[in-house]
Amino acid sequence: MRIQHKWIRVVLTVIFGICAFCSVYPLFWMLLNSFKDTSEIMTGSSFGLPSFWKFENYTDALFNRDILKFFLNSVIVTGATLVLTVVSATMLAYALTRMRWKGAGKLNKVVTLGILLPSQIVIVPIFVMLREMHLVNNPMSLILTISAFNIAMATLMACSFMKGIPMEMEEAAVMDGAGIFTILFKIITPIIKPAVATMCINTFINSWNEFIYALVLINGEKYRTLPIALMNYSSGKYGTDYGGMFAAMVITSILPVLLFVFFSNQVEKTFSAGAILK
Amino acid sequence: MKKVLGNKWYIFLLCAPAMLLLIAFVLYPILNIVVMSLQKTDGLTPAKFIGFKNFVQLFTDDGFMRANLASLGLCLLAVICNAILAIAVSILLCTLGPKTQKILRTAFIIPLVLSISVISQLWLTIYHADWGLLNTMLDKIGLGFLQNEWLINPKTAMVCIAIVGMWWMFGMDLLMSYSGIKAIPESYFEAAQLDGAGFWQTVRHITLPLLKDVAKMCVTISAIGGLFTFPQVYIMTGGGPGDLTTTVMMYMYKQAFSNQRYGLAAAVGLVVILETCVVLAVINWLFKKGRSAE
Repeated sequence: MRIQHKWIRVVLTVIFGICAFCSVYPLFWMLLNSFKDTSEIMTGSSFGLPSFWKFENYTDALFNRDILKFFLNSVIVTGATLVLTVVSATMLAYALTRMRWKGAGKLNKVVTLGILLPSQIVIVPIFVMLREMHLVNNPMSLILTISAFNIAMATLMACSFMKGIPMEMEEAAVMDGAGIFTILFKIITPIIKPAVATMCINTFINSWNEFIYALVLINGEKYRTLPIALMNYSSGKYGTDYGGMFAAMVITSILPVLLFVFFSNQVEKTFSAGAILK
Repeated sequence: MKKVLGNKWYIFLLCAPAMLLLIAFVLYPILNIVVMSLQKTDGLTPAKFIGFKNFVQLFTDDGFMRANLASLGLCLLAVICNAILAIAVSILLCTLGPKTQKILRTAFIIPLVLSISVISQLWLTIYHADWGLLNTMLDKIGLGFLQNEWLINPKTAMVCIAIVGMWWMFGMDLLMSYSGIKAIPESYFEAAQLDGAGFWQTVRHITLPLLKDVAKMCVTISAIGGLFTFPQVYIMTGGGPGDLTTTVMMYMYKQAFSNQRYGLAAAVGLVVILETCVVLAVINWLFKKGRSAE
């Protein structure tokens, strides 16, 4: 469907262009400021390029402010969450859609419940439970919690793909004497690759950006993840070094943005698939 | 065949890891939140059963009521400014050329992949009174008299918090309704055009009715997102000025982790769960009413 009048189209494009600019410009501003000296950020022109490019902001943030350590913490937590979520969700989805047993329908409802519930709401009981298990301040607690809240969505994503595979696949494999794990990981998983990609992107973005659980479950410096580490800057413990703070923000955003740049179609699909399953 | 796919042991093995996590971190906490809400716990001394005293305390606390109002306000704002605006934008976006569509869509979606922590810190500096982007921008375009201490001024603080959430989640709603529109067969529009329907008629009689389910999803997700606003408040204002921007999640966080009143915080959680159910029911009812009115 297209609007016929040309000038309406032009006006619309201009209005949306301005909106899109408002949506992107703050990020560009962040990038520029990450190369400026703090005094220039505070007193200089907000819009211009840096008068001199201060790359020390990055090295300072990475090494003196331990952002590198927090980055690695984030990578470890996200990586472990990714593996745990995708593997267990694929297994569950297989049992739910392909195996023959009575409880599958009921179990499916339990999984759906996991999607509807916003994860923050149960933070108090989870915190108390994990503290009794002495898991607070241990990255394990974060990995398990984030996985649990992503499994429901990942399972449904895998289910919707697995339903479409003809049962002859299994029949042939069973004839050849393949076991269940061979069937699942050697035959089915390669077929549902697009679903696995969607699951990975969804889980990656959710766990990389996880805020509230990381805030509550990890309170020492040692295992802190990036989104929480950013708050060191504004808390005034070191005085406010805005240049360094912007650099740290850019470092935090770099992986998700790269993911989006290289796989923008996949990412878009992930977001709309996630929404449809809700 | 049956031997492999009907094997109980295999089924158990495949379900076990995921179900274990779901039971431990989703089902059990939901049940536990009910139990905890009836207890007085500070986490150190053993929990004491105190019946409904937590709820009595909550509903006599003005702060909790104000927090609820703040959250519901954010919820309403998110529905209007995010869901409804995004649907309108995506309908209009679909009338433009494919290249323009792609560029604009990308621009709107980028904030979505960022961490809310980064976004809150970024907007904290944008709202900065002395050198923030907003104030310098206003100064540049000659609206200097509008300059403000955005997050400290009680009149603007709440709106500023809401804008951050909108900027972040707008792409989500846009993407949903956009793919909803793209899923409508092109032939419908062509048929409408052949029958001489104008743009507004096409939107009114073809796009909107077919978009109803997607629209409901947009509204639901925005509403829940608004209701559960937390990181923005935690990072940007800490609930201030006064307790003006304290949302229910912020209230819960303060009760649990600053005051160590876990029982009370669990009660807040339970109230919010019920509140969410009511909001979802209202949305369902509105959409049903819209359908029967047609």
